[in-house]
Amino acid sequence: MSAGVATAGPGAPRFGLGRTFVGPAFDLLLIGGGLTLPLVAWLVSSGVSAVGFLGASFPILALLLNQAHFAASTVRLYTKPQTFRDLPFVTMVLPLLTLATLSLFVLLADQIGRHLWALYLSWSPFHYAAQAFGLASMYCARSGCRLSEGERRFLRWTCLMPFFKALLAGTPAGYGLGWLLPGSAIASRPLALLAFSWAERGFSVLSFAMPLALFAWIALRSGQRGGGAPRKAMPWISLALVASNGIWWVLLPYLEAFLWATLLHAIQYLAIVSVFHVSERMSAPANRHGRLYHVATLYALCVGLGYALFQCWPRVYVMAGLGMVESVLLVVAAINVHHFIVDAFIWRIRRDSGLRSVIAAS
Amino acid sequence: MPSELRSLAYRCAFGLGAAGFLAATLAGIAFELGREARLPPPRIEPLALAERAIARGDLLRAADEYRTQAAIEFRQADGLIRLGAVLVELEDLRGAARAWGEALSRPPTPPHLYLRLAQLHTRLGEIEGARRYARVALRRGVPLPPALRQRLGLGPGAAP
Repeated sequence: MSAGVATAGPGAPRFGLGRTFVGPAFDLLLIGGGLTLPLVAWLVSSGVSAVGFLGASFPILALLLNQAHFAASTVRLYTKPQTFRDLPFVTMVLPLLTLATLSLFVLLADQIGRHLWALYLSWSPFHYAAQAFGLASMYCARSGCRLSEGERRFLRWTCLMPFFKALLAGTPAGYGLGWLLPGSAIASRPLALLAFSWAERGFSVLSFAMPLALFAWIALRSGQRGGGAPRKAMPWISLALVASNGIWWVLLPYLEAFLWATLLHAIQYLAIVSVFHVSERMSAPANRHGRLYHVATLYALCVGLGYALFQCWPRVYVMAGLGMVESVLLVVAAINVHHFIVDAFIWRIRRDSGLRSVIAAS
Repeated sequence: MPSELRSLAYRCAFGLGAAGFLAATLAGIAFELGREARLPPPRIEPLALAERAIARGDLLRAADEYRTQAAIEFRQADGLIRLGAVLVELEDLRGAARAWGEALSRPPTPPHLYLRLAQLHTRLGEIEGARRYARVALRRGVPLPPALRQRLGLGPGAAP
């Protein structure tokens, strides 16, 4: 992996893309969400819907990207060094717990299935926000932009703004706030409707104003010494990461945003998982293979596991005489929730020296 | 719990989970091979079973599928609209009226649903209710068939 445009070393430019993992184009377009800008500009100007554009290619894209990405967290969980020792509950108990909980929800789909479905759809924008926060702070750390505790907190809240917007925007479809309240309960009360629309607008504005404010704040204070090398400005790639998440949820209609965010998030996730996986494998003393081999085996595992989870699992419930609707929808929901939980454990950068060493490595 | 016991419990849970996953995967493949003589395709449609059931005339099974869709997507009208259509085929007009009536509380609802409700209530002999739905359909730009207009006493120039 090559070092990126700006480095943490002395004499480097104050502003820069950030210290990349693979290269400026790869990091910015695939990990940093750089693909978002041209794509959304085209979608908004042409009025093309996700379903209309992706059409018949969607199942293949879903298999190769979406489903592979959900599987990637499980593959990562079991291939990351020492996870059985460090995360015994997540590695050993969570799969059985997921299987049992899923089966219960499928059996009682008419009574309680909606809660698992709504949980998955309400949690997804939070998961994307958390990923944007994790990646943005990772690029800051890697690029010599040391964030104070207050700045980290501000960055976290910044990343949550699109999630709050999505919580409101999903109301008519029954997700987010709609899980608790029907949209008509708000629409029928003028004051509630006014507050709702102002809140939605507020979160939309904050989704872009807050990252810009943070970027400017850090830029003004860059160059200061905090007991070590002078602090760098916030890397552009961190700003792009946070802004792209905002663009998905603010500029696109809710269900469109859901489809595109899932697809672009999957690309982002597969790219960063590959970076960490390859880095760990290459530094293993017994390694005898090149980068391409590790990337290919990781990706093949992810696609294979994704296929087993999404295509084979639901059929078992149908085979047992249950309906296809609950089998498919609730398996999808359970896999997502499992992915969210696993991710919350395997990407704890501040507590994981292995992850920190990959971030610091050039 | 002593640590050895906990460790044993964790290992057992892992074994069961892994075995369950493997068995589910193999069973899913075997099921598709047995039924369709192919590997599970990369697309799995939640409504595939309902559509297949309709094609072979098993409307009760299709109704079950749509009922579950309506229960899971509990703020969306689609499942209820499909359920209502199947119940009409099954001559369960009261059930269809309930399903479509409930669908109206899950906006956005397609305008033609008001026309279908007007036709359904006409069949049930509830002319006043049918007229109410017919007027909403007209307001929302859905033309009424002449026979229905005549039955409900809504002339071509009827105020919506």
